[in-house]
Amino acid sequence: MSESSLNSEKDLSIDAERLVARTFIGRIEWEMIVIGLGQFVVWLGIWYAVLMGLLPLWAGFLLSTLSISFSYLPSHAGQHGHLSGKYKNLKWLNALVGQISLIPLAQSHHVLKAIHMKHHAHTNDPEKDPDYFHTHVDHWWQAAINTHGQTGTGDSRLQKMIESYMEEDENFKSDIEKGTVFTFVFFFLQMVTAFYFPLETLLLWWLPRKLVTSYLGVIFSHQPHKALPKKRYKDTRFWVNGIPRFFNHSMQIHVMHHMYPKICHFDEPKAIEALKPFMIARGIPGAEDLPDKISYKLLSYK
Amino acid sequence: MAKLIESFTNHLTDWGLVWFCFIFWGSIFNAILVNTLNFESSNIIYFSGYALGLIFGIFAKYKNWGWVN
Repeated sequence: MSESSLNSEKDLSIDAERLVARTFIGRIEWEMIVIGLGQFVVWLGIWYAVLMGLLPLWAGFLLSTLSISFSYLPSHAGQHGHLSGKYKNLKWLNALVGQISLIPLAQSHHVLKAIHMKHHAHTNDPEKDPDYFHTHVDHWWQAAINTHGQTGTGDSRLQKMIESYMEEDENFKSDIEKGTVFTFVFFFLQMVTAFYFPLETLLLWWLPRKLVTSYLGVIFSHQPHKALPKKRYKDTRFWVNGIPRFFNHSMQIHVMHHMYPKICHFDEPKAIEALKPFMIARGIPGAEDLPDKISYKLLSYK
Repeated sequence: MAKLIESFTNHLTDWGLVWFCFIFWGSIFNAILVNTLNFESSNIIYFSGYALGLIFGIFAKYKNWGWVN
Protein backbone atom coordinates (compact mmCIF):
# COMPACT_ATOMS: atom_id res chain seq x y z
CA MET A 1 0.00 0.00 0.00
CA SER A 2 1.51 3.36 -0.99
CA GLU A 3 1.83 6.33 1.36
CA SER A 4 -0.40 8.49 -0.82
CA SER A 5 -3.21 5.98 -0.82
CA LEU A 6 -2.98 5.63 2.95
CA ASN A 7 -3.05 9.39 3.38
CA SER A 8 -6.44 9.67 1.80
CA GLU A 9 -9.88 10.35 3.12
CA LYS A 10 -10.71 6.64 2.78
CA ASP A 11 -8.11 5.29 5.19
CA LEU A 12 -7.78 7.36 8.34
CA SER A 13 -7.04 4.43 10.63
CA ILE A 14 -4.42 4.56 13.36
CA ASP A 15 -2.25 2.15 11.37
CA ALA A 16 -2.40 4.39 8.31
CA GLU A 17 -1.58 7.41 10.48
CA ARG A 18 1.46 5.64 11.96
CA LEU A 19 2.66 4.58 8.52
CA VAL A 20 2.63 8.19 7.32
CA ALA A 21 4.26 9.46 10.54
CA ARG A 22 7.01 6.84 10.29
CA THR A 23 8.24 8.35 7.00
CA PHE A 24 9.30 11.46 8.97
CA ILE A 25 11.16 9.59 11.72
CA GLY A 26 14.78 8.49 11.93
CA ARG A 27 17.06 11.15 10.52
CA ILE A 28 19.77 12.96 12.47
CA GLU A 29 18.55 16.48 13.21
CA TRP A 30 21.82 18.20 12.35
CA GLU A 31 20.18 21.63 12.52
CA MET A 32 19.75 21.21 16.28
CA ILE A 33 23.38 20.14 16.70
CA VAL A 34 24.45 23.33 14.89
CA ILE A 35 22.08 25.50 16.94
CA GLY A 36 23.02 23.84 20.24
CA LEU A 37 26.77 24.22 19.80
CA GLY A 38 26.44 27.49 17.90
CA GLN A 39 24.45 29.37 20.51
CA PHE A 40 26.89 28.21 23.20
CA VAL A 41 29.84 29.57 21.20
CA VAL A 42 27.93 32.83 20.58
CA TRP A 43 27.21 33.12 24.32
CA LEU A 44 30.90 32.61 25.15
CA GLY A 45 31.72 35.21 22.49
CA ILE A 46 29.38 37.70 24.16
CA TRP A 47 31.18 37.13 27.48
CA TYR A 48 34.54 37.64 25.79
CA ALA A 49 33.40 40.81 23.99
CA VAL A 50 31.98 42.33 27.19
CA LEU A 51 34.99 41.45 29.35
CA MET A 52 37.37 42.83 26.70
CA GLY A 53 35.37 46.06 26.51
CA LEU A 54 34.35 45.44 22.90
CA LEU A 55 30.64 45.35 23.75
CA PRO A 56 28.71 47.37 26.37
CA LEU A 57 27.15 45.30 29.14
CA TRP A 58 23.59 46.35 28.26
CA ALA A 59 24.07 45.17 24.66
CA GLY A 60 25.61 41.97 25.98
CA PHE A 61 22.53 41.45 28.13
CA LEU A 62 20.18 41.80 25.14
CA LEU A 63 22.28 39.55 22.90
CA SER A 64 22.75 36.99 25.65
CA THR A 65 18.99 36.80 26.27
CA LEU A 66 18.39 36.26 22.56
CA SER A 67 21.14 33.65 22.32
CA ILE A 68 20.01 31.73 25.41
CA SER A 69 16.47 31.53 24.02
CA PHE A 70 17.92 29.01 21.55
CA SER A 71 19.55 26.83 24.21
CA TYR A 72 16.63 24.61 25.26
CA LEU A 73 15.42 23.14 21.95
CA PRO A 74 18.67 21.26 21.12
CA SER A 75 18.52 19.60 24.54
CA HIS A 76 14.87 18.83 23.92
CA ALA A 77 15.83 17.23 20.60
CA GLY A 78 18.44 15.19 22.46
CA GLN A 79 15.89 14.13 25.08
CA HIS A 80 13.87 12.54 22.27
CA GLY A 81 16.88 11.04 20.50
CA HIS A 82 16.65 13.32 17.45
CA LEU A 83 20.37 14.11 17.52
CA SER A 84 21.32 10.49 16.88
CA GLY A 85 18.28 9.59 14.77
CA LYS A 86 18.11 5.89 13.97
CA TYR A 87 21.87 5.44 14.51
CA LYS A 88 22.31 3.66 17.85
CA ASN A 89 26.09 4.16 17.86
CA LEU A 90 25.56 7.93 17.94
CA LYS A 91 23.29 8.00 21.01
CA TRP A 92 26.02 9.75 23.00
CA LEU A 93 25.40 12.83 20.85
CA ASN A 94 22.02 13.37 22.52
CA ALA A 95 23.43 13.86 26.01
CA LEU A 96 26.65 15.58 24.96
CA VAL A 97 25.16 18.25 22.69
CA GLY A 98 22.08 18.49 24.93
CA GLN A 99 24.21 19.26 27.99
CA ILE A 100 26.55 21.72 26.22
CA SER A 101 23.52 23.52 24.84
CA LEU A 102 22.05 23.90 28.34
CA ILE A 103 25.13 25.50 29.92
CA PRO A 104 23.79 29.05 29.37
CA LEU A 105 20.52 27.96 31.01
CA ALA A 106 22.51 26.36 33.88
CA GLN A 107 20.32 23.27 33.68
CA SER A 108 21.01 19.56 33.65
CA HIS A 109 20.07 17.71 30.45
CA HIS A 110 19.35 14.49 32.35
CA VAL A 111 17.10 16.18 34.91
CA LEU A 112 15.13 18.00 32.22
CA LYS A 113 14.89 14.77 30.20
CA ALA A 114 13.50 12.80 33.14
CA ILE A 115 10.90 15.47 33.87
CA HIS A 116 10.01 16.00 30.20
CA MET A 117 9.40 12.28 29.60
CA LYS A 118 6.89 12.30 32.47
CA HIS A 119 5.23 15.33 30.88
CA HIS A 120 4.76 13.32 27.67
CA ALA A 121 3.52 10.25 29.51
CA HIS A 122 0.98 12.17 31.61
CA THR A 123 0.27 15.40 29.72
CA ASN A 124 -2.22 17.64 31.56
CA ASP A 125 -2.70 15.19 34.44
CA PRO A 126 -2.79 17.32 37.63
CA GLU A 127 -1.38 14.44 39.67
CA LYS A 128 1.39 13.30 37.31
CA ASP A 129 2.35 15.99 34.78
CA PRO A 130 5.33 17.98 36.13
CA ASP A 131 4.43 20.87 33.78
CA TYR A 132 0.84 21.06 35.02
CA PHE A 133 1.53 23.81 37.55
CA HIS A 134 2.53 26.29 34.88
CA THR A 135 0.48 25.03 31.93
CA HIS A 136 -2.89 25.10 33.65
CA VAL A 137 -3.05 28.63 34.99
CA ASP A 138 -5.41 31.46 34.11
CA HIS A 139 -2.91 33.99 32.75
CA TRP A 140 0.36 33.85 30.82
CA TRP A 141 2.17 35.81 33.53
CA GLN A 142 1.28 33.09 36.06
CA ALA A 143 2.94 30.56 33.74
CA ALA A 144 5.96 32.89 33.47
CA ILE A 145 6.33 32.88 37.26
CA ASN A 146 5.30 29.30 38.08
CA THR A 147 7.68 27.76 35.55
CA HIS A 148 10.57 28.75 37.85
CA GLY A 149 9.23 26.17 40.29
CA GLN A 150 10.79 23.55 37.99
CA THR A 151 14.25 24.81 38.87
CA GLY A 152 15.89 24.89 42.28
CA THR A 153 13.72 24.10 45.27
CA GLY A 154 10.66 25.95 44.07
CA ASP A 155 7.23 24.33 43.92
CA SER A 156 6.56 21.91 46.78
CA ARG A 157 3.82 20.13 44.75
CA LEU A 158 6.35 19.44 42.02
CA GLN A 159 8.95 18.30 44.54
CA LYS A 160 6.43 15.83 45.94
CA MET A 161 5.69 14.54 42.43
CA ILE A 162 9.41 14.09 41.70
CA GLU A 163 9.97 12.26 45.01
CA SER A 164 7.12 9.92 44.11
CA TYR A 165 8.63 9.21 40.66
CA MET A 166 12.04 8.60 42.29
CA GLU A 167 10.49 5.85 44.41
CA GLU A 168 8.57 4.10 41.65
CA ASP A 169 10.71 4.56 38.51
CA GLU A 170 14.36 3.40 38.43
CA ASN A 171 15.10 5.08 35.07
CA PHE A 172 13.75 8.37 36.35
CA LYS A 173 15.82 8.05 39.52
CA SER A 174 18.94 7.24 37.52
CA ASP A 175 18.50 10.28 35.23
CA ILE A 176 17.91 12.61 38.20
CA GLU A 177 21.00 11.26 39.97
CA LYS A 178 23.15 11.68 36.84
CA GLY A 179 21.83 15.19 36.37
CA THR A 180 22.42 16.21 39.98
CA VAL A 181 26.18 16.27 39.28
CA PHE A 182 25.66 18.96 36.64
CA THR A 183 23.27 20.84 38.92
CA PHE A 184 26.05 21.05 41.53
CA VAL A 185 28.59 22.10 38.89
CA PHE A 186 26.35 24.97 37.75
CA PHE A 187 25.66 25.90 41.37
CA PHE A 188 29.39 26.37 42.10
CA LEU A 189 30.29 27.79 38.69
CA GLN A 190 27.78 30.62 39.05
CA MET A 191 29.14 31.52 42.49
CA VAL A 192 32.73 31.56 41.21
CA THR A 193 31.92 33.69 38.14
CA ALA A 194 29.83 36.07 40.27
CA PHE A 195 32.73 36.48 42.68
CA TYR A 196 35.11 37.54 39.88
CA PHE A 197 32.64 39.16 37.42
CA PRO A 198 29.53 40.09 39.47
CA LEU A 199 27.60 42.42 37.17
CA GLU A 200 28.54 40.45 34.06
CA THR A 201 27.30 37.23 35.69
CA LEU A 202 24.06 38.96 36.63
CA LEU A 203 23.40 40.45 33.20
CA LEU A 204 24.93 37.88 30.85
CA TRP A 205 23.88 34.71 32.67
CA TRP A 206 21.47 34.88 35.62
CA LEU A 207 18.93 37.44 34.39
CA PRO A 208 18.86 36.25 30.73
CA ARG A 209 18.32 32.62 31.78
CA LYS A 210 15.51 33.64 34.14
CA LEU A 211 13.81 35.63 31.37
CA VAL A 212 14.26 32.75 28.93
CA THR A 213 12.87 30.26 31.47
CA SER A 214 9.73 32.41 31.69
CA TYR A 215 9.57 32.56 27.88
CA LEU A 216 9.84 28.77 27.72
CA GLY A 217 7.11 28.36 30.33
CA VAL A 218 4.69 30.58 28.44
CA ILE A 219 5.45 29.72 24.80
CA PHE A 220 6.61 26.09 25.04
CA SER A 221 4.22 24.88 27.74
CA HIS A 222 1.33 27.15 28.68
CA GLN A 223 0.12 28.22 25.24
CA PRO A 224 0.07 24.74 23.65
CA HIS A 225 -1.57 23.02 26.66
CA LYS A 226 -3.62 25.57 28.56
CA ALA A 227 -7.09 24.51 29.67
CA LEU A 228 -6.89 21.22 27.76
CA PRO A 229 -7.77 17.75 29.09
CA LYS A 230 -5.48 14.72 29.50
CA LYS A 231 -6.13 12.67 26.38
CA ARG A 232 -4.10 11.81 23.27
CA TYR A 233 -5.08 14.10 20.36
CA LYS A 234 -6.84 16.46 22.81
CA ASP A 235 -4.02 17.48 25.15
CA THR A 236 -2.25 19.97 22.82
CA ARG A 237 -3.54 22.58 20.39
CA PHE A 238 -2.55 24.63 17.40
CA TRP A 239 -2.50 28.29 18.36
CA VAL A 240 -1.66 31.69 16.86
CA ASN A 241 -0.49 34.93 18.43
CA GLY A 242 0.02 37.23 15.45
CA ILE A 243 3.77 36.66 15.41
CA PRO A 244 5.48 34.57 12.69
CA ARG A 245 6.01 31.14 14.20
CA PHE A 246 9.75 31.32 13.53
CA PHE A 247 10.02 33.94 16.30
CA ASN A 248 8.26 31.63 18.76
CA HIS A 249 10.49 28.68 17.97
CA SER A 250 7.51 27.20 16.07
CA MET A 251 5.67 26.35 19.25
CA GLN A 252 2.37 27.18 17.54
CA ILE A 253 2.68 23.73 15.94
CA HIS A 254 3.87 21.97 19.13
CA VAL A 255 0.88 19.63 18.83
CA MET A 256 2.77 17.69 16.13
CA HIS A 257 5.46 16.95 18.69
CA HIS A 258 2.94 15.54 21.16
CA MET A 259 1.32 13.43 18.45
CA TYR A 260 4.67 11.91 17.38
CA PRO A 261 7.60 12.97 19.62
CA LYS A 262 10.09 11.10 17.45
CA ILE A 263 9.52 13.46 14.50
CA CYS A 264 12.28 16.08 14.38
CA HIS A 265 11.35 19.70 15.10
CA PHE A 266 12.45 20.88 11.65
CA ASP A 267 10.35 18.18 9.94
CA GLU A 268 7.13 19.06 11.75
CA PRO A 269 5.70 21.41 9.06
CA LYS A 270 5.94 18.71 6.36
CA ALA A 271 4.61 16.07 8.74
CA ILE A 272 1.63 18.28 9.62
CA GLU A 273 0.83 18.77 5.94
CA ALA A 274 0.89 15.00 5.42
CA LEU A 275 -1.03 14.20 8.60
CA LYS A 276 -3.58 17.02 8.42
CA PRO A 277 -6.51 14.72 7.42
CA PHE A 278 -5.73 12.47 10.41
CA MET A 279 -5.46 15.46 12.72
CA ILE A 280 -8.85 16.75 11.65
CA ALA A 281 -10.37 13.26 11.96
CA ARG A 282 -9.00 12.90 15.51
CA GLY A 283 -10.39 16.31 16.50
CA ILE A 284 -7.07 17.91 17.43
CA PRO A 285 -7.85 21.44 18.67
CA GLY A 286 -7.19 23.95 15.88
CA ALA A 287 -6.46 21.33 13.18
CA GLU A 288 -9.53 22.15 11.09
CA ASP A 289 -8.33 25.76 10.68
CA LEU A 290 -4.82 24.89 9.47
CA PRO A 291 -3.64 26.15 6.10
CA ASP A 292 -2.73 23.42 3.59
CA LYS A 293 0.87 24.64 3.51
CA ILE A 294 2.78 25.39 6.72
CA SER A 295 5.22 28.15 5.81
CA TYR A 296 7.88 29.88 7.86
CA LYS A 297 5.68 32.95 7.90
CA LEU A 298 2.66 33.57 10.09
CA LEU A 299 0.75 30.38 10.88
CA SER A 300 -2.55 31.87 9.80
CA TYR A 301 -5.93 30.36 10.09
CA LYS A 302 -8.18 30.45 6.99
CA MET B 1 34.47 9.05 51.75
CA ALA B 2 30.88 8.17 50.88
CA LYS B 3 29.74 9.51 54.27
CA LEU B 4 31.63 12.73 53.69
CA ILE B 5 30.00 13.21 50.29
CA GLU B 6 26.61 12.40 51.79
CA SER B 7 26.97 14.90 54.63
CA PHE B 8 28.24 17.54 52.17
CA THR B 9 25.25 16.90 49.91
CA ASN B 10 22.87 17.08 52.87
CA HIS B 11 24.43 20.34 53.99
CA LEU B 12 24.02 21.83 50.52
CA THR B 13 20.43 20.61 50.35
CA ASP B 14 19.66 22.43 53.60
CA TRP B 15 21.92 25.46 53.33
CA GLY B 16 22.85 25.68 49.62
CA LEU B 17 20.47 28.55 49.01
CA VAL B 18 22.01 30.56 51.86
CA TRP B 19 25.56 29.89 50.60
CA PHE B 20 24.51 30.81 47.08
CA CYS B 21 22.98 34.10 48.16
CA PHE B 22 25.96 34.90 50.40
CA ILE B 23 28.52 34.46 47.62
CA PHE B 24 26.54 35.04 44.40
CA TRP B 25 24.19 37.81 45.48
CA GLY B 26 26.72 39.18 48.00
CA SER B 27 29.22 39.71 45.14
CA ILE B 28 26.54 41.39 43.05
CA PHE B 29 25.28 43.61 45.91
CA ASN B 30 28.87 44.52 46.65
CA ALA B 31 29.53 45.49 43.01
CA ILE B 32 26.33 47.55 42.88
CA LEU B 33 27.23 49.36 46.12
CA VAL B 34 30.75 50.13 44.93
CA ASN B 35 29.48 51.41 41.57
CA THR B 36 26.54 53.33 43.02
CA LEU B 37 28.41 55.03 45.86
CA ASN B 38 31.22 55.78 43.43
CA PHE B 39 34.23 55.67 45.75
CA GLU B 40 37.04 53.29 46.39
CA SER B 41 35.99 49.95 47.79
CA SER B 42 36.33 50.03 51.56
CA ASN B 43 36.01 47.18 54.01
CA ILE B 44 32.61 48.45 55.21
CA ILE B 45 31.15 48.42 51.71
CA TYR B 46 32.83 45.11 50.98
CA PHE B 47 31.27 43.47 54.02
CA SER B 48 27.89 45.18 53.74
CA GLY B 49 27.38 43.74 50.24
CA TYR B 50 28.04 40.22 51.49
CA ALA B 51 26.02 40.83 54.66
CA LEU B 52 23.08 41.83 52.47
CA GLY B 53 23.60 38.64 50.47
CA LEU B 54 23.57 36.54 53.64
CA ILE B 55 20.40 38.18 54.95
CA PHE B 56 18.80 37.72 51.53
CA GLY B 57 19.83 34.04 51.63
CA ILE B 58 18.34 33.38 55.07
CA PHE B 59 15.16 35.13 53.98
CA ALA B 60 15.08 33.11 50.73
CA LYS B 61 15.58 29.84 52.64
CA TYR B 62 12.65 30.45 54.93
CA LYS B 63 10.47 31.78 52.11
CA ASN B 64 11.52 28.79 49.91
CA TRP B 65 12.52 31.13 47.07
CA GLY B 66 14.05 28.63 44.64
CA TRP B 67 14.12 31.29 41.89
CA VAL B 68 17.06 33.13 43.47
CA ASN B 69 19.56 30.52 42.28
